[in-house]
Order: sequence, then C-alpha cells, then structure tokens
Amino acid sequence: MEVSTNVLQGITAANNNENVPDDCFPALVTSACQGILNQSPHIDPRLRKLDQDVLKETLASFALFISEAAKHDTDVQSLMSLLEECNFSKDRIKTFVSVFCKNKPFLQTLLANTHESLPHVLGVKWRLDYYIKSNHLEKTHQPVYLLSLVTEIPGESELQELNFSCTLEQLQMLVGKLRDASKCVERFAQL
Amino acid sequence: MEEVDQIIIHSLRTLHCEIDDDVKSLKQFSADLIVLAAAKCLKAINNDLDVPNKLPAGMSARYRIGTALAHHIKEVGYSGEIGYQTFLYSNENDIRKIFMFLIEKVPKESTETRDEPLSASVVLQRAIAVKLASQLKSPWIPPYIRRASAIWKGSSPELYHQGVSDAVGFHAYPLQWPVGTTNLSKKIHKELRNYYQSLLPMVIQQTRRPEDVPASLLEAHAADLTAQQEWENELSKAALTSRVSEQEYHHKKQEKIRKRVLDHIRQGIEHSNIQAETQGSQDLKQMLNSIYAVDVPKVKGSRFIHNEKLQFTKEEEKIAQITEATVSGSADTEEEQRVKREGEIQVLQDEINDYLTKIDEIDTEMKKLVGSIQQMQEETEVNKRENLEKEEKYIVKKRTLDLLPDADNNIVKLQSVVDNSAQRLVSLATQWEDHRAPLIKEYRELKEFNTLRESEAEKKLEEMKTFREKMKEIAAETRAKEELHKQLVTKYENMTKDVNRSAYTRRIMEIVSNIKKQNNEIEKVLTDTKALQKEINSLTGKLDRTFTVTDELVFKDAKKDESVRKSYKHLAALHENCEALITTIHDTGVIMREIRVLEDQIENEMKKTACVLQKTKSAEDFDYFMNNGKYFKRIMYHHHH
Repeated sequence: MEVSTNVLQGITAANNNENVPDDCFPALVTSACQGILNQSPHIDPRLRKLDQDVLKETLASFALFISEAAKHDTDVQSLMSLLEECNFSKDRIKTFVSVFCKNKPFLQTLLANTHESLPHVLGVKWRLDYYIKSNHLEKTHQPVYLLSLVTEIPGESELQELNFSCTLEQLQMLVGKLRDASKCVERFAQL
Repeated sequence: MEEVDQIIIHSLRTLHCEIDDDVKSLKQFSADLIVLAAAKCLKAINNDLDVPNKLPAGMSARYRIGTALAHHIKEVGYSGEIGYQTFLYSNENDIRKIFMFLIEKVPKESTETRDEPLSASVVLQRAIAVKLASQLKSPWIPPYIRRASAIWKGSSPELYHQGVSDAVGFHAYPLQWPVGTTNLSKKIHKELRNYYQSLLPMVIQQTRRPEDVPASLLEAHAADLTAQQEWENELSKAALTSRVSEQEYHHKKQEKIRKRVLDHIRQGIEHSNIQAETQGSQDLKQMLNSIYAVDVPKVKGSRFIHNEKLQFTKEEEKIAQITEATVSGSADTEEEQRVKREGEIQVLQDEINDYLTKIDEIDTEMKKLVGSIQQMQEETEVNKRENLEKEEKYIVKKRTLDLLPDADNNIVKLQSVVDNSAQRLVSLATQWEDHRAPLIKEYRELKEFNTLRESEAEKKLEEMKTFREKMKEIAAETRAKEELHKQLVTKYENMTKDVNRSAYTRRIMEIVSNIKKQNNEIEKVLTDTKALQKEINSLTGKLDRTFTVTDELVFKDAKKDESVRKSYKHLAALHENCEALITTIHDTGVIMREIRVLEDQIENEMKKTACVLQKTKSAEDFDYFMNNGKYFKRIMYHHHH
C-alpha cells in the first residue's frame, strides 16, 4: 500500500502529544472511521478542545489512510510497520489497529457497495404460451415463452420485473449464455 | 505396491480424473477408467492431442481407440510393450508401469516459479480467485434478509457480496484539507489559517451526500499520490539535465506556465479584437489583472529579470489599451464601429510605435550618459590619488629644505637616528623570528591535525554512506523475503495435506533400504566370483607350470627312451583334450544362462497370455464374438441356399 506524503505528514502530526493528546487519539481514529461509514457526521466532543486546523488535517489524513487500507485489505503487520515508521508509540499503534480491525468489515462492505451496477437478477417467472394465429397468418402454431426476470435495482428497495417473450431457440441461447458465464466464473475461481 | 498405487491415483485426481473414493489400487481400475486416465495424462502432456475420454460400445471402435492410445504413448517415449490389449484387457503390472511413466512425463507447473516472488498482478489474480471460490460456496440469501448487500454473521459482516440493492455509484467530490499545519518550517498565511480553522468543513462533511465520502476519499488519495509521483519524476528528470534545487525548479515552472497563459490570452484578444463584446472584454481584463495580482516570487533583481519585468509591464499596458479601446466604441453601428476601431487602433499603434522609438532613443542616451558618468568618476578618482601623492612629496621636500642650513650637525643626527632605527629594526626582526618560529610550528601541527581529522571525517562519511546503502539493500531484501515467505505460507496452507507426502517419503525410504540390501548382496556375489576367479587363475597357473615341468622332463627322457617318447605324445594329447574340455564347460555355462533367461521370458509371456485369455473368455466380448460368428454363419448359410 502506498501512502502519499501529505497523508503521512498528517498522520505524523497526530503522533505529537501536543497536537493530539493521548486521551483524544482513540476518539480521533474512531471519528475518522465513523465519518467514512456515515454513521455520525458530528465530531466527538472530546476533539473540540484541539486546534481546529490540526484536527482537520489529522482527521483528513486518517480518513484517507483508513479508506486506503480498507481498499487494499492491508494486513495488520504492514499497518503496524507503516505506523512505526511514523514513530508511533506501541500504545497508539495498538489503539489504531484495534479500532481499524473492528471497523474493517463495515468499511469493506461499504467500499464493496460503491460501484455502478446493472440490475441484479434474483429469480425468474415463466409461462409457455401457444400462438394459434394472428391477423397476418391464419396458422401460426408456435410455442412462445413469456419470461419475467425479478431484478434488484441499485438504490431501490422494491424488486422490479423485466418482461419479455422469446422463442424456444432464443431461450436456449439465453440459457446457454448464462451457463457459459457461470462456467467462466468457476474457472476463474479455480486459478 | 500400495503406496505407488496411491501416488498414481492421487496424481490422476489432480488431473481432474473422476475416480471413486473406494478405488484404492490399480487392480480395481476398469477398462473405462484406464482409458479415461490415460487420455487425461496424454492431454496434460500435450494439449493439442485429440483423444477420446470414453470407450464406445462397439468392438471395432474400442479396438481403434486402444491402438490410438498405445500409439500416442509410444510417441511420448514409452519403451515397454504396449498395444490395444493393454487397455482393453488390462494387466495390473503393465498398467502400473504405463501410469508411472505417464505421470512422470506430466509437466509440473509448480517447479517453474518456485523461488521468484510472484508479480503483483499474479498475487491479485490469486486473491480474486480465492474470493470468487469462497463466494461461489456461500449460500444464497433472499434479498429481504440481506443488509448492505452482504451476508452478516453475528454482528460483523462476512464479506460475501450478494445483490446490488445498496449499491451506490462511484461519485467523487473534490476534497480539501489543510496540509502542514504543524510544520513549523513552512509558514501558512494568517488568512489561510483562519479559513482552515473556522470555515473549512471536515473532510467527511464536504460531500453533498454522505454516501459519497468513501469514493471522494479514495479519489483524493489517488490524485494526491499520482501528483506526488509525477512531480518526483519530473524533478528527477530535471535534475539529470540541470542541477537545480526543488524550489528553483518550482519557481521556474510557475513562471513558464504564467507566461504561456498570458501569451494565449493575448493572442486570443488580438484575434477576436473585432468581434469582442464589451462584457467579454471586461471579464478578460479582470482576469488578466487577477493573473498579475498573483505574487511574482521576489528573486533578487538582476538586470535580466528587471528587463523582463519592464517588458511585461509594457505588454500589460498594451493589452489594457486594446481592451479599453474595444470597450469605448460600443455605441455605433457595427460597420462604423469597425472602421472607427480600426482607425483608433491605427492611431494607437502609431502612438505606441512612436513611444517605443522614443523609449529606445532615451534608453540609448541614458546608457551613454551613464557611461560618461562612470568615466568622470574614474577620472576624479585618479586625480584624487595623484593629489595625495603630490602632497606627501611636498611634505618630505619641505623637511629636507628645513634641515639644509645646519647641514653637518643634522647629517650626524640623522645618521644616529638612522643607525638607532636600524638596530631597533634588527632587534625587532630577531624578536619576531623568535615569536614566529613556534607559532609557525604550532600552526603547521594544527593544520596537519585538521587535515587528518578532515580525512577521517570523510572516511567516516563514506562509511556511513555505504552503511546506509547496505541498510537500504538489506531492508529491500528482507521485504522481498517477507513477501516470498507470505506467499509460500499461503501456498502451503492452500496445499492439500494428505497421505501423498508421507506415502512418498515412506516409499522412498523403503526403496533406499531395499537398494542398500541389494547392494550388499551384489557385493557378496562379487567377492564370491572374485574368489572363484582367483582360484581358477591359480589352478590354471599351477596346471601350466606342472605341464611345462613334466613336458621338459619327459622331453629330456624321450630322446633316450622309446617308451618315454610315447608317453610324451600321450601327455600332449591329454593336454589338448583337457583344454577342449574346459572350453566346452565354458560354452555350456553360457548356454545354460541363456536358457534360464529364455525360460523366464517364456514364463512371463505365459502369464500374460493366460491373463488375456482369461479376460477375453470372461468378458462379454467372447459372447459378442460368438454371436457375431453365429450371425455370420447364418448369413453364409442363407447365401448357400
């Protein structure tokens, strides 16, 4: 994981006891995590006594650092060595790691949910109809499948249905494609 | 042989052969399974080969597939006996031999990249594969149970992503945060600090929607990092071509960019001068002013920079005039405006030209005047110096003139004064010498000491440098080793830890002990044969010697006696016969050995044929052939009639 010098500078600034006293440090890391998780946009009252510009810099640096670490799924060991390079004390490293580990699954879930997406197919309802004739043809006699895909659309809680009709060949092709896709995923999983 | 079979079966399973769990040895292999396994192995060895995996029902097709497989295996390099019968009517030993050969030939991918640390992309791909595999194994959860599109176990989510109901598009806002507030070496403007303290919201409150915080953070960091890297790249490139400090380079670049922006704007104004609208030109003017308002770094005013500034201000005036000109003539119709403007421009241009020429003239005049001022100053200096010299000369001359009337006395006095002063000078000189010598000595010593120390310091500096380099190297090495260790650990964890390894080792140990035993036996036999050889040699030697002795004795006596001559002849005959006997014994020995080998072969063949016969008899193939025979007979019978 690479971290920009600006962020490292901000993190190192938080290490100074004059800038961020020991009792404020956990609150700082926690509010950085919570801020990313959108759980509490309000800042911890313990942090009010700090210099506001320093607080803003350190909080921003930690938020950037934490989001990056969650993105890369950085292991604890390398996080600790990174903080050691910034001359953090063992207690502070411990605090940071414990807070980060507690929040990591939530952060990663949040990051995993940050993406554009097509509707997600959850299920399918189908019906087989038989066309006897139409206004153009006296005799059609063709089977037609009526399908409706139950889909989940990003950002909407209601499930939606996607309706279409197709002939047997088209349906076979669709099923074939789907099978190919799932095979493909399985093959990648076996690499 | 059980271990060998297990190893073979394990290797076949890794080649994706579907072998039932209760199959423990090669004895249990059916013909279908053998063909499938052989085909898989051949495909693993050579990917282009097209061999069917299954035995068809028809007898002739079975035969064809068997011969094809045998042919392919021979092509790979198998030297043993092999044919369609090995697959269709299998013999355990043959099959074992073939599979041992084939599995040895199967290329092992793991041996290729053993020691090198894997590249980042490969590691990422593996991580993706692991994640995909775990996700494929995760159960499907109906959407009304899911929370945040993930499976939650207890209070913390297991990261099995499912569904998109909570997906938020990646939408990043530009973020701003104070940098270097605690850095004392770089001062932050008071107003800026004020803004940071009271007005700038927290980074996590800067997005319009709270969902966009993570995306904004990721993008901000990526932008920061890439900007930093690009800057470093540029700086290192600049440092290669010309040695400038980081700040100087920064200033230079700033200046360059400002100049280019100005050029572009000026060109734009000149191009669109005619159609320029009032509003637009005013905006432009404002912008130009704002660009100039940005503080130009105060470099100590060398003449060159001064000139540049002059130029800039001139251009500025020009631009201002142009823009003002465009502003004034907005009331009339367009055609008139155009004419008017052109006229004005012409007039203004002329004026500018006049001014420029005037300025040039004044410049040259000024230069001339400055030059003449300098000349004058130099002259006055020279004159002053001359004046001083002349005054001194005048004083000396005056004194000597004063002394002239009482010349003799004065000469004596002067002589004594001169002598005194000379003596004093000499004594002072000796004193000076006395003082000087130790001081110089001390000075030299100190100097030497200093140089020594300097050289030592340099040495130490170099040592430090080398140590630092070593440290860096070692750190990099340890990092690489740690990476490798991690990879290997994960690989080891991922590896299937079953009987395979222990079976291999046990088998190898057994083989080693067997080989030792056999070696011992071979040595014993060798010593035996050596002893025998020795005995034979000594015996033949003895025989030769006795023969020659008797031969001589008898030959001596044979000259005298007739009967002895006869016995000599007999002796020769006896010797020849004995030799013939020995050779025949040798030959019989060789033949016996050959016979034994042949007998072994015959026994082997007998076993095989018996096996095959049994199989054919027992298999339904026999019935098939019998039926076929009956069928053909019937056909023949029909034809006859």
